[in-house]
Order: sequence, then C-alpha cells, then structure tokens
Amino acid sequence: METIEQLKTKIEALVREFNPAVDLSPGSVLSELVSKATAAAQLGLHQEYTTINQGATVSAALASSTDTYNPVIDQIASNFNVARNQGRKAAGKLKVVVNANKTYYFAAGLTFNQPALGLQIATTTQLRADSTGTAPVTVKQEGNQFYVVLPVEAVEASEQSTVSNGTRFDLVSTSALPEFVGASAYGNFSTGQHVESDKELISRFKTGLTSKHLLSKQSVEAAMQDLVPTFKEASLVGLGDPEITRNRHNLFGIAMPGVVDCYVRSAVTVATTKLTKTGTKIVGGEYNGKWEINFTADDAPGFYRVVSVVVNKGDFLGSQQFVAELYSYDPRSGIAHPNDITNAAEARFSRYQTCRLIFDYTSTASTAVFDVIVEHMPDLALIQDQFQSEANRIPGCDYLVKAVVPCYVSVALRIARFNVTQEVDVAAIKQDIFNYVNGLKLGESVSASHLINICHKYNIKQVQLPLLLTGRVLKPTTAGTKFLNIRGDDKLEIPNLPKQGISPNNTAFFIEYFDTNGKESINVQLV
Amino acid sequence: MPVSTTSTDYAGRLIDINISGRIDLADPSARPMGLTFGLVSSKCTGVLKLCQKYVVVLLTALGSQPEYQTFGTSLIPTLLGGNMINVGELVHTFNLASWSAVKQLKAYQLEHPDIPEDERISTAMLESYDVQGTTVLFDVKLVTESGEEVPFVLPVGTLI
Repeated sequence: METIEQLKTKIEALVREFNPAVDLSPGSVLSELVSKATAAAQLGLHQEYTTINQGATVSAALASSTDTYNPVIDQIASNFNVARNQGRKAAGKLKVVVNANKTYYFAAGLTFNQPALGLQIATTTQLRADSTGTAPVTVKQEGNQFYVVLPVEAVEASEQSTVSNGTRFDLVSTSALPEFVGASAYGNFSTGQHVESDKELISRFKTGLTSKHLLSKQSVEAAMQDLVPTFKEASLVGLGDPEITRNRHNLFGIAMPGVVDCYVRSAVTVATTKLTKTGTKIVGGEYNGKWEINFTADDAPGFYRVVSVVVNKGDFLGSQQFVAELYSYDPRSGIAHPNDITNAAEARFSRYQTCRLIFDYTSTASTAVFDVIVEHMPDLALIQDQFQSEANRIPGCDYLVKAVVPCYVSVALRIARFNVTQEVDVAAIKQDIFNYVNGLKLGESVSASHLINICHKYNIKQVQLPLLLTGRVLKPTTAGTKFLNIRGDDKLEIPNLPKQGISPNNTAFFIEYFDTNGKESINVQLV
Repeated sequence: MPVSTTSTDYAGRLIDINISGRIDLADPSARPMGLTFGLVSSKCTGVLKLCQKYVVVLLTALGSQPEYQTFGTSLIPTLLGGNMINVGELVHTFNLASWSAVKQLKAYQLEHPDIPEDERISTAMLESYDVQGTTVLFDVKLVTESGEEVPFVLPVGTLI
C-alpha cells in the first residue's frame, strides 16, 4: 500500500502540471492546506479500500493479514444461520483509595490503567461521592484512608480485559484526582469478549448448519453457542464413563443408558459475582454462636466456591473466617421433568446445588446483611433450562448440566534477553499464554514446549529451564473447599481420578492474569 | 514589514497564496503579521513567502497533523496550556520553538539547493516582546541567507 509521502508526491506532481509556479514546500499554504490534507484523505480511502478488498470473499478474508469485519461476510454467514458476535466490554467495580474525606465529583471517562495487561478501564457516568450516604457513591473509611467503589468498564471490548479481584490500577491523569492513593479491582470483572472477526465467523459456518439438537457433543456446542455467545465447550459423560454415578439409581445398581452429565465451559474464564445475603446468628447446636448464610439453588447456580464474606457496607479487605461450607441440593420437585439427583455430590456444580456457609462474626444482632463473593461458571441455569424446555428436551433422557471442574493454572517463566537493555513485550507474551491455556480443549494438557514456542515468537535469547507449571484442581467435595495440587516441568495433565469427580473428561484449565489475592498467575521474569 | 530593497527580480519564482497581509512598502514601521483569510486574494513570493512559511511552522501545534507528527512547534500548546510561570519562561519557550521552526525549514533547504537565497532562512531571533492583556506581541527579526534582516511583529493570543 502506498505511504502518505508517496500519495503527497503524486498530488503535488498533479498540481504542478496545472501550475508549475506553485510553491509546495513544507510551511507553504498550499502544502499545509491542500497537498497534505488531500494526501491524508487519500490514505484513509486507500486503507478502507484495501480492508474491503481483503474481506470481500471468504477466501480473501481467510487470507487477510489483518482482522476484517466486512458486512459481506455477515450476509454470507446468514445463509449458514450464523450471526456475528458483537463482543462486549468487561465491567466491574473499582475500589479507589483516597487520602481525604470530602465530596468528590468523578467525571465520566475517568480512566485507569493496568500496565501489565495493557488494559484501560473508565467510569461510564458522572458520579458524586460523599460520606453522608445520600450520594450515589459513599466514601468509606479504612484505617487512616478512605475509599470509594466506582462502577467501571473496559475502554475496549476484548478477552484481555479479564480482571481478577485485587488487580492493581494506576490513574492515567493524576491531576484528575489529586487525592488518589491507589486503585484495585473490587471483585472479578465480568468477562469481556472481542467483536468476532471475519475469520472467526467463517470458522463457525460449519457448526451453523449442524443439526442443533442436544444429543452429541458437537450439536450441543452448536446449540449452546447460539444461546450463550461466550460458550466454549461441552463434555457429555454417560453410560460407560466412570465419572457418572447417577445412572445407577436402580434396584440393582446397574449403569443404565439415558442418563448424562453434561459438563460445560460457558466462558473463557471463571466469573465472580457479588451476592448480598442475610446472615443469621446460630443459637444452640454444634455451631452455637457462629453465623450462617444459606444459598438457594438460584444463588449463582452451581457456584464453585465462596471466596469471601464481608459485612455489607463495611471494610472490603479480607473475609470473615469460614467454619464450614456444607453443600446440599434442592430436588426442584416443583418443575416439570427435574433431573434425578439423590445426593449432594451429584448436585455439586449444578443448577440443583445449595449451600450452608457457617462463619465467625461478632455482633450482638441476630441478623446482618453480608456481601458474599462467589466464583462460578456463568449462564449455567440458562443452559440447564434449555435442556429441560419442552421444545428441546429428549424424552426418556436425563441431561444434568454441570460446570466443568476448574483447574487454576499458574505459570512462572524466566526469559533471557540478548542484553539487559533490550525491551521485550512482556504484556503480549502474557496475553498469548492467557489465550493458549484458556483455549485448551478438555483432555489436552498444558505443554511447556508450547509455552516456549510462544516466547520465541518474540525476539528473545532463550527461555530458562525448568519451567514451573502448577495447577490447583477444585475438588467437587460437599464439605469445605479442597484443592488437588498438580505440577509439572514439561507438561501439566489432569489426573484421572473419577472417584473424586476429577478426570480429563470433565476438568478444564483456567488461567487468570492475577489470582484472587492479587498475585500474578502468569509470572514472566526478564533476566 | 519593511523590506530593505525593491530591486529584486521576482520573475520565475515559485509562488504561494498570501494569507499574512499586504506589505506597505511606504510604511517604515513594522506591522503585525497575522495569518488570515478573507482579504482580496493575492500571491506572494520572496522574503514575504519565507516569513509566512516560518510563521506557519512556528504556529502549527506539534502533533496536530496526525500523519506529520514532527511538523510544527510546541509554542501554541505551551501558551494555551496556561502553565507559563514567568516571562523568562516565555522567552525560553519562544526561542526553543523558533529554533525548531528554523531547523525544519533548513532541513528542506538542504535538500533543495536551487531555492533563491532571499527565500532561504538563516536564523530568526526574538528582539523583544510586549504582553497586552491575553495577547503576546513577539517582535521577531528573521534573517535570510542573502543577509536581509526582516523585522515583524507576531501577535499570539493566549486564550483558547
């Protein structure tokens, strides 16, 4: 493609053909107002034309060196009953610490930056904050400092805007808030998603015409991608698979067909949600004096675990000490065609799961309102309802939707540069590792050699071995939160422990940039 | 803008559109040089064209042309930024910007040795200045490679 200088030279030659006496040197009026402006306009048209040309046909879009978003491909996609996913921005809450208790006015577009992720987030509306409790946002005290919690969203729609609780942010323009001390994510942000490019849309053509019934893995995935745009993968566990026990609910304990556990990964990463729940002081019994919160089947259905409990409108830091997490189930006998579940273990990570959380809290009151943060796989109830709707359900079959068992991965890499002054795009390497691990299918392992290949896409000297790959598999236990730790130097594999509810068929790798303690999960160190 | 001679033959010179006012040769006093459209159209060449080019480069905000990020100077952004501490900084800011404008014009001159000497800049100096309300009047002296000294007054507003 022509550069702006080449275009400007062409335009100037054309002008001189009409009048050889014109001065078009830099600073001349004709240069500044005519040739430069015309060349810039021509360049825009050239770029637009080139992009349109690259996406005009399916083959051209696939061969394109850049991501294209051509309406022509949308029209072709409609023939395959597929529509472009328009993406969405990650959103969440940001805890902003300030050094003074006063009335604050936060403008819309107040921007914060996460340098390691190369991510910018901003407020979307103008907000007023004070400590009286009458303003839309309340200034709260924490030690000698004060903080506010602001709703924010990513400036751009992309998966890279996945933000974990505690992730630190800087203020882009410090003059906009002179009292600024620091900022961190208040709970995980909702998962963002980029606008689907032509290449990605074309790759879905084949699933577009697939029969979208709920019988096979491929057809389930095709149907669910229409229902939940972020849907990634499904795994059907049924007759002959050791992970399932529900198909033995008969007099002889013999495994029978027609009963299936459908493990789903409905998003790139695990989501966190803040629930506001009323806690009650326990009087009498084993937990006398402790407090409890009861979660129903509709509270973040099938959630993985409770991350923290803090009293509503109190300090955010930390959590009340957990005494017991007792998972149970709600048979949901009031609905048509409920799934056959006979114990809490079968209901774990499913729409039927309930939980009784017992924790320490000191108060003279008998009830109090708490903010509870839970981790979960989004849209689980929606997917289960789809399987049970009259229009879609398969008579004689029992499909129970469960969130895939999560394995939280951490990676530590040491990258040697050619010299200490060399700059390496660490944020881009982290982003590629994030995409690789979260893009792994069920049954695949995290490969150290693949991580090394990712690093060598960049101009580096070497990756120092051994690599440290660690994973924590959340066990689907019914009492407490327990992890199975795994590690590896050359690869990370899910162990086959079906009796513990863990196997390569139902367990997926997840990686975040930061864990729930704000510690980096993708640690890339330059040496 | 008085010029020292009127005997130059301007035949065959490259011309530009004149947006900096008309020179009154009979008026010996320096006149303000403002860039504006709307007067009767005229062309310019020679030293007036050079002065106009210098002023255009000087008053173009650095980075304001997306495709030509290095064209222009930081004079206007600094003046409009409202962070000028004292007059010493004003002089310093102007001199830096003027030096940058001269350098940009000289870079082009180096590549084009055929440009007549009275259209080639040698230097530009700030003689004095006068602050009148929100306007600063810079008294500038431009020197061409032919040795001609051209004094003029450049008014610059400090309000957006």
